[in-house]
Amino acid sequence: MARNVEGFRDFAAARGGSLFRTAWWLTGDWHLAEDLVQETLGKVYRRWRGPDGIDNPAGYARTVLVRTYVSHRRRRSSSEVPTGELPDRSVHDDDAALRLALLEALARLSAKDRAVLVLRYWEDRSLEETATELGMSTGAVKSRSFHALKRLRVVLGDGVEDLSVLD
Amino acid sequence: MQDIDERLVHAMRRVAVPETPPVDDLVSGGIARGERMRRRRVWAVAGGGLVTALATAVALVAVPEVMGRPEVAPGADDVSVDLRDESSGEDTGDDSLDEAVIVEVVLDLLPAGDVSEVRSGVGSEGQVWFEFVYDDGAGASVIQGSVSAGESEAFSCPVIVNGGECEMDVLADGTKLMRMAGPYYPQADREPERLLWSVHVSRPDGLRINLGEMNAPTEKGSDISRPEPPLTLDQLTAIVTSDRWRQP
Repeated sequence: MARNVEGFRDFAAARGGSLFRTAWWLTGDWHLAEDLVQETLGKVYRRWRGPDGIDNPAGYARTVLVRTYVSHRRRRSSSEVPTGELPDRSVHDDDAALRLALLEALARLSAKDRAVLVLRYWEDRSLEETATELGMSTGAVKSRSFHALKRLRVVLGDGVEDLSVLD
Repeated sequence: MQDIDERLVHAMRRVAVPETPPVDDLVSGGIARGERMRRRRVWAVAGGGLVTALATAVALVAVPEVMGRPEVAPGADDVSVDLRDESSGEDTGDDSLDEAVIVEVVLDLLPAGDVSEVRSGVGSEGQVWFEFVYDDGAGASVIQGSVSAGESEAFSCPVIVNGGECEMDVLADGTKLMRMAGPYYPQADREPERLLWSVHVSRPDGLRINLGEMNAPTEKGSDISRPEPPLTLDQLTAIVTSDRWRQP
């Protein structure tokens, strides 16, 4: 069956940047984000049959992205030991410092907690959409979101106050 | 003052990845990977260490591998493995196995106990494998498994020379079931107390599940932790025939 490669290429070109930005918040690393997006696009391509082959291909790609991320993080989990505390660093300096502080704080969350926050607060997904994309209940998403935000507040410490001046 | 969630939204918007994503590389790399994935659509039972060639219909059977237990409270995430793609509704029985969901289902179906050292992956033939250490309080056990999809597989009990046992059955829905229990090593005189119990199903819809356990925390090189593996063959069978592995 024809794969409609050009159709997929158009889709991937249109969605690649968005997927990458989400992957970057998930991984906190440029190269890992590249790898995650390429893996995601590969999986989407694998079942791409044309423009009508997948309902909501953008949503499907996002689902594949976050689930692939969670899956990969689990595989690496045994070798990852959260250090608990952030280095003593001011987040007052500039965007770069804030970016680093956020990434370090997110890195201290479990893969699913991080995915929940990224979908909810970066992708602006609803509780229900987040639950569907991660394959969990809305209650679990709500609970994870609550505890992840609480954890984020603790990890960021005083630096979290600086986030309030960003709007 | 804004709530932390509002501040998080604004902060993420402001300091998102500062450089332009390499979209051309992402697209070409994605297509290349997709093509490779398509070429790997020969479904074979395989896996990590414990798994042995079920496909050769001889000796040992693939014992699955596992990985980290989700921190989710039991029952919080009621997920099932479906051969149908969850987003598109498209029949993806050939290649849609979701590694994370599979592992979560397996862990959910286990009796109460501690799970650690969870690992999983997707093999070169597309099969999802998993491995973890499970401890019900009576001694740590390595549990491994694999799940693959494709065509229903014909298998039969191998010739057993180490004192183990094997039985075959065909369930009412046509699922083929093989259950094995015995020493891990095929050589009768090599660590006969090191046990490997495993069950294997091949469903008419093409889903194949292998699950095995040992009475030691690792496949090789560790002391025996208990006289027998923690789950009975019936318990292993209940896991691989659970309706959580639902039909498309």
